[in-house]
Amino acid sequence: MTNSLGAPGRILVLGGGSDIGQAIAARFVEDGGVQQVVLAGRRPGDMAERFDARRPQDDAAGTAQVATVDYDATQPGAAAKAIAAASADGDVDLIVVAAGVLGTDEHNRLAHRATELLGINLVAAVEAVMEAIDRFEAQGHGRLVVLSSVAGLRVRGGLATYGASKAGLDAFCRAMQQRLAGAGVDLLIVRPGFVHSAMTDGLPPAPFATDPASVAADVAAAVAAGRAVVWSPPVLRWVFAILRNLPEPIWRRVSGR
Amino acid sequence: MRVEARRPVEVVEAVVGAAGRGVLARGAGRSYNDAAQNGGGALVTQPEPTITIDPTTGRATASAGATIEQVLSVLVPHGRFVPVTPGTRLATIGGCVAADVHGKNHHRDGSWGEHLTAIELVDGHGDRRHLDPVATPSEFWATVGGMGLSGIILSATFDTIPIRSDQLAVTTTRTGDFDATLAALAEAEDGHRYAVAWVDTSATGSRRGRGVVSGGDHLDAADAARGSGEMAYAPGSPIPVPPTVGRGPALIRPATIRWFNRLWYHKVPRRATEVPTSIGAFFHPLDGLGRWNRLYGRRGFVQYQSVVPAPDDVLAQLDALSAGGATSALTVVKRFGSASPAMLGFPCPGWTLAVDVPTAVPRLAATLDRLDRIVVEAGGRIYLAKDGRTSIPAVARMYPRLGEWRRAVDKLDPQGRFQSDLARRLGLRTGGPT
Repeated sequence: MTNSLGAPGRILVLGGGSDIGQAIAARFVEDGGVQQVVLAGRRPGDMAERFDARRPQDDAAGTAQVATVDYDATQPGAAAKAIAAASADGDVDLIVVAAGVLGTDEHNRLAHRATELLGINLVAAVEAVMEAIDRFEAQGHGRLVVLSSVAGLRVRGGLATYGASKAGLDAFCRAMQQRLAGAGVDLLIVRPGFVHSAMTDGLPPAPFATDPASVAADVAAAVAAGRAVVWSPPVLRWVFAILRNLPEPIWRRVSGR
Repeated sequence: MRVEARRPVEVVEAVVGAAGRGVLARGAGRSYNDAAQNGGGALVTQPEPTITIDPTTGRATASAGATIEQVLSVLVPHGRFVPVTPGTRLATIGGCVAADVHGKNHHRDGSWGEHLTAIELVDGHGDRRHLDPVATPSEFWATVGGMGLSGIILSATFDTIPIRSDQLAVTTTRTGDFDATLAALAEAEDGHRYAVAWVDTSATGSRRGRGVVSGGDHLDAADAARGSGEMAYAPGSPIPVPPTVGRGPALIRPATIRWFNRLWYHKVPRRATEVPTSIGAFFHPLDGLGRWNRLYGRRGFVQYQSVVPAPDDVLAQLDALSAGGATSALTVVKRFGSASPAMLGFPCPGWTLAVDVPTAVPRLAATLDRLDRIVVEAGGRIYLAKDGRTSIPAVARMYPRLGEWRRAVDKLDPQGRFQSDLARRLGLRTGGPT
């Protein structure tokens, strides 16, 4: 159960190996009141080890336990199974939908690679959002955090498939928020910019680059405030207000890095 | 889903028809936490109060949904008073049983459950049960203090006390430090039926723990000045705090708390004074201000109430709060008498501390976790009707009879129909984490 200070008792991270997903869970553990973190992904041992290294060594109560469950975003039905496994001992109060891949140039050029990426970033993520909402509506409460990206706000050629997948997911979640109004279920859309993480290792950073812990801090504050969308860093909201409205020729020039 | 049960048979129907997320009785919703919430499940309210009293024996029966205010408005004209009253007159009788509430007379009269002679309960089979402390002690003491998880209480029968006036004589004493507060409290307990200490949290250093101790008794005879021997109870409507206050910046914040505490302390005369006081002003002062929670702004506040064996353990908690920047707006200290036989009862011999802290205080979770550690290590406990944030392992250590309570509740409700958000959060029922 979510406690009276707003701390989720049990957190499930779908895509438990994700740096940002892990950082969000670690941030809530640091703030106190979390009883269990369930990491759902393909490599349980590795995920748990990395999370233990990341979590604060002296968290408030020291009581948060870490568990892992299997989750492979390429398998249909995987989200439902992971959510059911995580809820076996009681309610899951916060679900982070974090599984995703950035892709390479191949994913923008080869059809089968593009559909592969869309399958993970869009199809599986939409499935996860819907399964989480079903679970939350049944238990009467719950908060969902979905990782979108500024890359989906105005998609550039070099990130065509990734950007399209995030654009689709972001739009879907915006529509879900309409449906959830008054249902006791919150959905937060997270729009990070360039984040230094395993996903972007070796890439040249974009302006306003940030790190997983900073994104997690922005997410925790937005969850506490019950907001619908959070940009990380927050300045990107204004940067993209301009970028989204640039005439196409100028956009091509500024985005064609 | 909410079910308004106007007759007992409708309560039975709600229990038998409970789906996976279970069913829970909800009274007036005055506990400070999720004790009367059941996310995804059913809540049963019993909106039609019935109150009867036998004027010769003073024994009264009230339906679970009747509030302390409604009960007093029947009792007082008969020259009777409830054996125990919590700090709000808006609590229901069902809630008083389920939380085994205590009042300012705990040092001599114990908790609510000790004045009960019978409870009518709908158990998990949907059967109406008559519980009393002699014939069914296990079921009875699992229900008293059982936070509504053993069944749905329909009514309770309890002994009342005689009063000869609707006023109280209240003596207030200002104290200079914590030792003086303790001494004055001990003196007030010896001399009065009701005793409690308020602590000024703005005071530091040598004045730390100073406060105001009040001792009260029902007046012996009708106040002569009033000219009439008739007793009445009409607390009047509260002055509401408007909703706009709740949406703006919090009025109660550390700076204003310190000012308020200082003023409150200095408003009390230096020398002990006795003044006649109404029932409402003495027992339920906060009820005079409707929706006072709005003063804390949008983020609200948390109340933390503990009982620990020694006064030093109270000081340790006050110090931890102050080190964490968690200045309490309203701080109450009292000594408890002996524990009731309720398996999950809160009061036990020792010192209770209640604090109200704004939720917006930074790192409040860590500060309250430190209080938990002080309480657990001292062998104390925190109050389940007020906790909103403790941990599952801490509760198991605070309530050593949890296993015994679970077995008793399982007999009344083997299918686990009675559930609450509190029970889920703290894993209270069998099958929950231990």
